[in-house]
Amino acid sequence: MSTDISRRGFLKGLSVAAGSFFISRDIFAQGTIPANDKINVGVIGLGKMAHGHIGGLATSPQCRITAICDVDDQRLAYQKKRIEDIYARSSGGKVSGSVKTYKDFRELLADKSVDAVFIVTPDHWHAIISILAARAGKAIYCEKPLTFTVAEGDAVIKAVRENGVVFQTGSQQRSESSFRWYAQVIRSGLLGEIKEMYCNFGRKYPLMLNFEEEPLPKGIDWDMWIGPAPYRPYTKHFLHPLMMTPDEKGSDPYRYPWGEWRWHSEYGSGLQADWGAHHIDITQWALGLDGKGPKYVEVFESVNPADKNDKFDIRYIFENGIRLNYGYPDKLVAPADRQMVMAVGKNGVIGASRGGKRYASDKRLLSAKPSGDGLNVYVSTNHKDDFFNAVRSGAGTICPVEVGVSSCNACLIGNIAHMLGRTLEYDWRTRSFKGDVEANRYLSRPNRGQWANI
Amino acid sequence: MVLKKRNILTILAALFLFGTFAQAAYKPEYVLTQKDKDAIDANLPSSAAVKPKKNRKILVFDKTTSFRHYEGISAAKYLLEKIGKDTGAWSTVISNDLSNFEGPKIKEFDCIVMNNTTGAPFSEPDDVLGKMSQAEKDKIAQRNSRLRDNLIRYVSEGGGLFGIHAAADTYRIRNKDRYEPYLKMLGGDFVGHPWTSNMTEVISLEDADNAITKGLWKRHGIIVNDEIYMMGDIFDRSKLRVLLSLDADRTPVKAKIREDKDIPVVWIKTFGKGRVAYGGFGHSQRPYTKHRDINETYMRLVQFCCGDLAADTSSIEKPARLVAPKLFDRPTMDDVRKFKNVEYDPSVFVDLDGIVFAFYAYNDLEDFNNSMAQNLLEEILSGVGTPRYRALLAQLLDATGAKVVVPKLRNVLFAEKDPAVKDRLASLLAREEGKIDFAGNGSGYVLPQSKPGTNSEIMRAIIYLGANPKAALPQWLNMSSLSNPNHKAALMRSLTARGVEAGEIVAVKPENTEMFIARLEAAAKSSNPEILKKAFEGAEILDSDKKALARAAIVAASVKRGADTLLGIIVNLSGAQADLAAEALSLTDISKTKSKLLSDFPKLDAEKRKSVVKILASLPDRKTFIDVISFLPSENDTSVKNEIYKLLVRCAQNGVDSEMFSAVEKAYKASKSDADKRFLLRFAPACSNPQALELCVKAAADGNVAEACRYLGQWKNRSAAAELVKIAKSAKDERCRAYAHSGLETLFASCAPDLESFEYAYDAFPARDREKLVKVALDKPDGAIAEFLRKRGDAVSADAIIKKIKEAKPTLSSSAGSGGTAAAFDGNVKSRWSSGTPIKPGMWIVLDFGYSREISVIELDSAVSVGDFPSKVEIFAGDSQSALSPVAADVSVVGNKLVLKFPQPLNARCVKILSLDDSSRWWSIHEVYLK
Repeated sequence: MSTDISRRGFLKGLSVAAGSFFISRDIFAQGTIPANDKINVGVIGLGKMAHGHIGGLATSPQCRITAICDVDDQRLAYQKKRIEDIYARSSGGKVSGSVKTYKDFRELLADKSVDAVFIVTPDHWHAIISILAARAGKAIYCEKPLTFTVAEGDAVIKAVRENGVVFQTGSQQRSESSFRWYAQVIRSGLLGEIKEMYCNFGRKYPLMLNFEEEPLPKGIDWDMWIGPAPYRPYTKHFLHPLMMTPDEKGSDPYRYPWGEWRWHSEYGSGLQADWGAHHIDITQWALGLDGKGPKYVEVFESVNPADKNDKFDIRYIFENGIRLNYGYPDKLVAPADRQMVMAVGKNGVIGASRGGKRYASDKRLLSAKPSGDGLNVYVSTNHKDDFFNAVRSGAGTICPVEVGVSSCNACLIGNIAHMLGRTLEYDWRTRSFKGDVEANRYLSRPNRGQWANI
Repeated sequence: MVLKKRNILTILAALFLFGTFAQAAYKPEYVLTQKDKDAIDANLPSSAAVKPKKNRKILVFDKTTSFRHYEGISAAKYLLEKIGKDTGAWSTVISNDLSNFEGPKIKEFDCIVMNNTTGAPFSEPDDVLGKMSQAEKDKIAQRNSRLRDNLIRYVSEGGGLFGIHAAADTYRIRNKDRYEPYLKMLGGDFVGHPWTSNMTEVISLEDADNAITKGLWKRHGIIVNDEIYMMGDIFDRSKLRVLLSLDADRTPVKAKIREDKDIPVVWIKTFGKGRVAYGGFGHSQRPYTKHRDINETYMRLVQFCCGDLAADTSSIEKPARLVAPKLFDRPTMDDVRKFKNVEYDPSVFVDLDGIVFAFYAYNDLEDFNNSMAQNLLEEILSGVGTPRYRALLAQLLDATGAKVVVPKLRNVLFAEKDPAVKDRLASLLAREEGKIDFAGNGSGYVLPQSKPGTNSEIMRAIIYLGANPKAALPQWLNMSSLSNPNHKAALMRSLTARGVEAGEIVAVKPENTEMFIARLEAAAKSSNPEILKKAFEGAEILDSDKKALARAAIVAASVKRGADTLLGIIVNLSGAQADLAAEALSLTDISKTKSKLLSDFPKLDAEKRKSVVKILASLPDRKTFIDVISFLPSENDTSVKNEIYKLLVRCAQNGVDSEMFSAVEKAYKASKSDADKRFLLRFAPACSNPQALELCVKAAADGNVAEACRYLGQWKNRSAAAELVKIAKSAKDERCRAYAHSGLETLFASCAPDLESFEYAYDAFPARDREKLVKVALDKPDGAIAEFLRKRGDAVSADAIIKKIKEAKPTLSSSAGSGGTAAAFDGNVKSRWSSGTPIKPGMWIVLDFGYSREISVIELDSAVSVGDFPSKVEIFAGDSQSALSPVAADVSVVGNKLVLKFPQPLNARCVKILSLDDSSRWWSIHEVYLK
């Protein structure tokens, strides 16, 4: 290794230790690997999801959180202390490196000491931060659903390709053994010709939630939270202040409900994309349609008991005629056997859920070996490690930007069809609808103010 | 009509493949359920469209000689009769009596309804014709041509004809019964349905002002699931008036559709002095039970055909764009203004959704967009309402596209102060002006021209070059200029992505795990086996944590080359490389490599033999069992032997057949090790044939009494009992006798005892076990044993057994469908058990007679469900469902019965019939007869 290189935490002095990168934590604790061999991570967005990510990242032997960013002073202060405490504790007080805090993600991206960013903001921010992070040369782990519009997806792909950065989509179900098995069985042809696919998650298409206007708490940059989306006054339903005072529900400051921007059509894409980015992602993976997408979004009448004006439900049809329905193949599997994703083929039914759960109507499939195209199913056993490994060695990631975008697009076109109440024909090659000018207008949304010219 | 005839014909050819098939005898008519009737009743028109000019009489005719739409036919009969009666618009004659079409009689009717007729309805189905003499056939042919011409003459002279759904599949099949004068009279010919009844079909209203549709179809159409028919080249839009059609842009298709996408669903026309109508709905009862608009349209069509309701039949052009059905009423500005005082308030969010969704629903209508955009902009400019209201106006304006107001928007925007309104208007303007969101204005990454100073800058350049294969490789970047092995690994990956030869990449010596895996990934892209072999060099460097990734790369490589290369590596190399290859091989499908593995086996050293057995265990089937068991007698290495044991047990999980058992017997005889022999015996009960029995007897004679008795006790049929008695009687000592008794006791738990064994046990077992034996006799009632017990003075038990036999009732259980017993053993040939799904290999039924009885013939009667049974079956029998073994049977088909004859009468309680057939038919059993 060369010693004349200026300090850069990233990948310095690896030639000796490189052979044993996935060292156990014990070895790390003994100090075999110098701390500055870790990947320096910046976390952008410090909401409920990031709270969980940080717990894992701060104790990972792979990386070190060196910078965090949020629009809320309180979150910045809380997470800074939390991370620094974890590092101090795990090193027996030897490591006391401080975590830098930023309120504008552009400043974090300009910080040369940050090697990789975790983008954990609301959906309407994912694309712009990804694009600017790519231009800054950062490796990117971006939460799903990857973008807010289909046009954003194209722009993110372009930026990632043009800037030579590593990209991982946060669809971590791909790194779970049950879903990998599901994809392998289907792509190996062991289920025979596939008839129908199923995804199950609750019904929450994006709606026009109309939360009350509330006084803006001190220390929150609301204009920055709104960012490229249309303005609306502050509400705690979208950005809840941390709950610093313990009550009967506990003392975790993040014990507020999931941000309800998810269900509001101007900032989020509903459960449709929230869970769809997982289950539809797995479905496309299993059908070998990564990077592609459905041919039709079929709209049919089905009134939501919670909102009488939400009158439609959807299903997808892929080019090969396979249908993707929401729910379960009710007539074919008992309630106890129902899984998050299920496939009905000529030879039976299989399904998979989180926590390694698998179901197969033919038990032999549970231990079936992949063959043919099933062998092309990428194997990752840890989603974050898969990302870090790619950062270190230029290896691919299990869910690169093109794949994350195509899975997200499938969710987004479903929302457009639902909103318009008419069946749409989609062409994944051009990422546009055929024969519906109005529908095509919603494939993009011009950004607000200073974010218009990214 | 402009239509590319050739294309249509190609589609036709494809559709005919599934459009025509030999028609088996028809099932009984579908009887509408009360639920069907209630649903239709709830969707009936309240009164006739017009008062009939005189009393009208219609004939509803549904004769078919090809496919029959049972549900659709029954539902239309009910619907038309009911509407006629309720409204007084007509009286209905439902009849397939062909004399109605003769001579003057046909003129008694004001309208003839072709209710889902198919084929040549004035002829007879093929199976009926097949049984006729030539003279009879000729007579039918004459009748057919006479009556169809009568019908055509009747219409042209002023009659009415209403064709429902498959009326267009009548006189349609080329080279069979096609009669174009009928099709031309009707106006269309069925060529296929590129969508099916479980897909949604979007039906759009083309003509809202016609007397047939006026006031109906408020939502511009509906969504149905009804297998709408596509017409072929007989359909000519210029000769009729299409009222409703299928929106081919919004209906997902499963097959190719007409190039012009013109799919009419309802039309009217004239023919001579007569009137003709076609309604495409009615594949099943479903449309009539759900859509009042369909039912009312059909009423009007009948009244039109009768000559009561006048309607414009002149042709109209196909609209450039069909209007998709809407579930919302068309919103007005009054609907919008209701929100003038709305605030940010979650309690009104559903109302807001209502107006927003309604605007989106209508934004495919240009006149709606234009008028609403004007109104909304004026409302915004007027400044009325709350800030929330004005934000809503901006959002609704966005839903209209705002095209006509775009020129004004810039000024409006300048004056607007409210950020929520301003943002939305600005966004709208930007969209309409075609401004691209992401111009990519950022300073694009520029490849450094000399080696960068930091490791991460080097890495970025390498990854960039992988993602952008067209960018030239800079001079400073090559394998030898890099020192960090992770950079080298990244460069290998980027070079692979850039299409550099795999051979060049694997030539680099791996310095760490990542480089080793990067070489494997490169090799995976090549189809040269030498390259994969080379990529294995340096396997020693691989971290155990990363083995999974390496295996995945190897497995992906074997997609292209089969597993032969890996096998070569296992056989010719050693240590880490061979291990890795073996692990990878066991992850893949080895069925094609197996013979090579087997032939190499004896030549390998113990360690490699162990690897090979492990790989073979990844294909645990009967063939692997037979192949590997032959290696057991000559295997000396204990650890290899243990692997073989594991493999054999795994392979036998799905049962041991006689061929497998022959291999067991051969290995047993060749084996010198007692441990092997004892191990092999475990496969005997899984097979339970005479050969297996013989081996157990031999094992007992050889001194392995304990194992022999244990496995005989697990026998699947009662034949082991006699052998166990023999062993007990000839036992050298008490211990051996106890083994035999224990075996008998276990056996009796699953298999009914025969009289001799029972007698033996009754006398030989300790007195305290008698109670258990009596319980066995009660569980598995047998007349002979009852008599034996009576002789021994136990009349109570004997009576109980006889009573049980008398009361035993046979049952039928199955892997699919339900309610078998009630239908199959009720003495009523009309009731039916059915699988409810198509027959598949592995589908089974079990007949349980309630006690073990003698049986020589079983007849499974499919009665009117012609052909509803598997063509290939396997039969098992035994004393309980868990103790079944294969039995020989002669299987034949007599009439519509599947007959099983047992050359040697069975003595069994349960008989299982396993399908080996893969059929599109269901399995139906109307009655079971036992002899």
